[in-house]
Amino acid sequence: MSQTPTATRAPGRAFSPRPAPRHRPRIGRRLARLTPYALLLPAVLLIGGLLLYPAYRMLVMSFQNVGLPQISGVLPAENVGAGNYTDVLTDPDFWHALLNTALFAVAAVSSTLVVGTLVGLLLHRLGRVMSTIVATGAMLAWGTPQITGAIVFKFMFDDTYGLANQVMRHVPAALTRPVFGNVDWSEHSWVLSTQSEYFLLLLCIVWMGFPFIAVSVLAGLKSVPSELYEAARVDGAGPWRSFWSITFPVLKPIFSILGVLSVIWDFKVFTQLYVINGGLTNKDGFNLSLYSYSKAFGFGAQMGLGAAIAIILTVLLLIITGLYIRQMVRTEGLA
Amino acid sequence: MKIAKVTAAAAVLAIAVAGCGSGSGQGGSGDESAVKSLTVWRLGDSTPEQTDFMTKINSAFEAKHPGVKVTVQWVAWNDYTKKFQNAVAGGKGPDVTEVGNTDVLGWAKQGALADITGQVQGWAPAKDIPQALFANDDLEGKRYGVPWYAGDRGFLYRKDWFDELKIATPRNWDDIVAAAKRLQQAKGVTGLPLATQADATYFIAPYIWGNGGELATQSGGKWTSGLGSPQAKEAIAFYTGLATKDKVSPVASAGWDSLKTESMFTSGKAGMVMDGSWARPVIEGKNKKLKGKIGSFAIPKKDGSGPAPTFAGGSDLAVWRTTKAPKMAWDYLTLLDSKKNATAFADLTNFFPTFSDVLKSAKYTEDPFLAPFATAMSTVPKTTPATPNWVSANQDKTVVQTMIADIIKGKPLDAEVTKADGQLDDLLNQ
Amino acid sequence: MSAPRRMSGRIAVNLLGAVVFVIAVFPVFWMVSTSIKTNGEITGATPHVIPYHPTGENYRFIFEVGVGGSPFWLYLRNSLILALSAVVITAFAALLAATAVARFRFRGKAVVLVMLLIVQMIPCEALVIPLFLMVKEVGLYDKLPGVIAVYVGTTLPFAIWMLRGFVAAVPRELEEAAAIDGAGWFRTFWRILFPLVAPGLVATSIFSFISAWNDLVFALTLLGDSHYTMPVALEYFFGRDTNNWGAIMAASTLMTIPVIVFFLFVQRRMVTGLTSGAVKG
Repeated sequence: MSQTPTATRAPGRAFSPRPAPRHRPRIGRRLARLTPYALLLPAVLLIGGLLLYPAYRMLVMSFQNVGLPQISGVLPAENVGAGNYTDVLTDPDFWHALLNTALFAVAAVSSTLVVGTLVGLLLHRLGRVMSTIVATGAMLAWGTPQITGAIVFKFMFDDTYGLANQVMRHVPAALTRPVFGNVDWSEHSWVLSTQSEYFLLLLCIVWMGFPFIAVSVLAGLKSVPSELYEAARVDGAGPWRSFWSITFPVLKPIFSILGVLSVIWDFKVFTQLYVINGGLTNKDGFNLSLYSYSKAFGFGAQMGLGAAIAIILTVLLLIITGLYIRQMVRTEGLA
Repeated sequence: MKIAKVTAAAAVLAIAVAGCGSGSGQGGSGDESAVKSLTVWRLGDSTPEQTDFMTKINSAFEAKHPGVKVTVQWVAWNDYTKKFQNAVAGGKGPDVTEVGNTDVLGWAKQGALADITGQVQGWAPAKDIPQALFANDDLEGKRYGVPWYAGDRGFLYRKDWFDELKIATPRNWDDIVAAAKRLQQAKGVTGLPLATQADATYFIAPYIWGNGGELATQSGGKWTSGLGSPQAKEAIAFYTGLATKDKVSPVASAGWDSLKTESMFTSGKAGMVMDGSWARPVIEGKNKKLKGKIGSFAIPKKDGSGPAPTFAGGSDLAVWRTTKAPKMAWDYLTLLDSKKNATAFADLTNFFPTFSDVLKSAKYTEDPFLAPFATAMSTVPKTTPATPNWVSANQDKTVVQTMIADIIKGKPLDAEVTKADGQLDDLLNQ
Repeated sequence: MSAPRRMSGRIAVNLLGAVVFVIAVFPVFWMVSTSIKTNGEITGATPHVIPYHPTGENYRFIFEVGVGGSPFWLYLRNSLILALSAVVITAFAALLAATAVARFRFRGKAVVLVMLLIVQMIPCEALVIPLFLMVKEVGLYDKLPGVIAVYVGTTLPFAIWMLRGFVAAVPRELEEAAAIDGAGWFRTFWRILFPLVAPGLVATSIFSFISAWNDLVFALTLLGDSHYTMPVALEYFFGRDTNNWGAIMAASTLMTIPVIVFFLFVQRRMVTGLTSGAVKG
């Protein structure tokens, strides 16, 4: 907490709109007490109206049958109880999408964190000039909008015109066979099998995501006084030990937030997958976001069903990030 | 059953829609003077030729309706389901729209299109349009669209390469394989890139029909899938075998649509391609080097006893249900679909007009490129199952496409066909 | 450590740095390079890293023929209006709210902070279904204000969270000194607090700008084609003309380069902002 409570200062007085007139202290105090609420009002209205209320609507819809007739107001929304959830949970497409989502989140979060950390450590080791050059290069990857990044990756891995196949054709088969098996690289499709499609997505996500991790890790590393390492060396600690006993503890809080942010981002990837999957026609490539979207906005507009899937996605994400929220609440002393 | 509920809801909607459609028609009679703009949706690419054509139509219309401005918006074919869906849901559509002819019933059922039964009755040129082409426009005794142009699919091939390698025009299935293999080997290109996504159903259907099979048949109000019949199975085996057995198309084609195969042909990476007659101007426009080098032949029957029945694809015109100016919209529609304009448009795009009297003219039957298409279409044109559920089965559930793609990816043919057969049975009878 | 070993270690590290640089830059480079290649060069069998015959043809196509019947400028304009409006509103509301939670003690503060944390965990893509219905109900379907509101709502919690750290870092003594000097609330805010929080505001603004600029799902769903944004136009173009790669890469370049340039200037603040939730001090 940044505030230090003082006996003389009324709560809420820190940044009062106007110095309270001395002769009417009560009203002044009351006004001052209202200030934080007034400051919060716009944000509360916006968040309430645009996040909480829709979330509530989504919950209600997930128990209703909402399609085009209901949207155009021809028919009222009909209560179907847990019908949507039963439909979703008995749909093999759902389990497939869930598996895709979960496996991808694990793969993407860990790869991004590992690659990002390694690059962060590398940046720390590099000289000033080289470090700036590499960091600037990484900024290009980071700044690239999601949609264009995905399109470029799809292009580089296109079966007919893609650079990847053109290069692979010239690599001796002995090198590619152990990894990819017997593949005819002349028109090899990278998006045909779900594994391969998600591998492509992984490359794209890691490419876009590692710079943020790297730069954050670098910022953490810079905050460690170099004397600490000197001292460790004098004590005879090797690089491995000084990493775990000095570097890691400093980076730990950074990792925890980076991890959570990555989980949130990678669990619900939409744009990149939408592009790599080629829209909503290939069901095998769906994750939960795309699956929900396709139900709600695909042919037939089963919005209630889409809402049920979205609720499941949200609840899963809240469970995963709940641990983090608990930790934040504790360390910040909010509760 | 939830499906039953949805169907019931849709039926109620259709009735309600029909009700308010006619109601507003009467109430709004003569009161369209306030409407100052008309929006028209056209499907496909806005090539300069097409834009010019639409500009001419618009000027003619604007001259007749002073103060009204017509806007044409182009909707890509592969974007069109989403676009229509959003428009219906958002309540913001065009006034007049082009619709894929197999999709009219589906969109009518979704409440997108206006009932124009009365207007069509009073429109003289309608009598020259074959009744068979209207089959896709009628739902529960009401008419929702008017045929505008039609076309069928066949083979386009590289005439220069066929001449150079002395390949004769294929007349049966074996010929196709032989030609594709020869091209692949001599030119280092893909022999015959296969489409398996999006409109792929229309490429495989002629093989099924030519072999005596059906996609689905109706009797006593119940639809039965024909995919499982031995004739259909043989055709499916041939089509997918082009990739799995003959290897004249790569396994990657399990993810290709006809845009992709067409682009490969356009960039000189394929020797043949199955496509529509309308593709030639598009291809020549993109790659000028191919001008005069594209030949065509009809999709043959297995034994070479003639062209297989082809799918009469094309577009119809319809009035959007929520238009504020149904009269003007109809007026625009009939201007676009007048015999003169419809024919001019068909000529521009290498399609065919739908008026039977026009279609019989020598212009179509004697052109070497168009003749195979025109002959195949005039002999035995077929359409897809005339039920609103077809759109859902073909475009949303993509039963046939998924089946082809999965077989090409290496799944067993028998199991995939049986699965698709069962799915189609269920979906068509919802 | 011996000198030669240190030397070779240094070379290895620099080499590794070069590899990372190439991997990071290559996709962007390939995009730009393809955008100035002729169609023949793109579809040719041997890839050219640098175009042999650079051409502006693809850019001409984007601006003259356009995408989906409209010139590219239209989408650029839509994207800019959306992103800038969202930035202004978000920054304003976030600054007020961040001041409240970082500077005041009040009843319910803990609840507010916990709620702020929780709503950040809601995947906003999931909310597109109810938001679509709400936007339609209030008559804002296919109108920019509807999407602006959605962008503000979805980025605000994180923006407040980010800005909170910056406001809290302003030394309280400065404010008190100003108050003793008799400066009014507004003056204190404008002269003392604002300049110190400005870097935080920049970070917050960039965050919401990038979110809006990047967004596909809301623009795709809540807007019709006259209001398409750059991402939607690109997606649309990509779907309809899958193999006009030169023009697709030209359009992608046009969308990417401004953001990257912008990014290079401000990246450091972004990092501070994004991690401020965990890293204090």
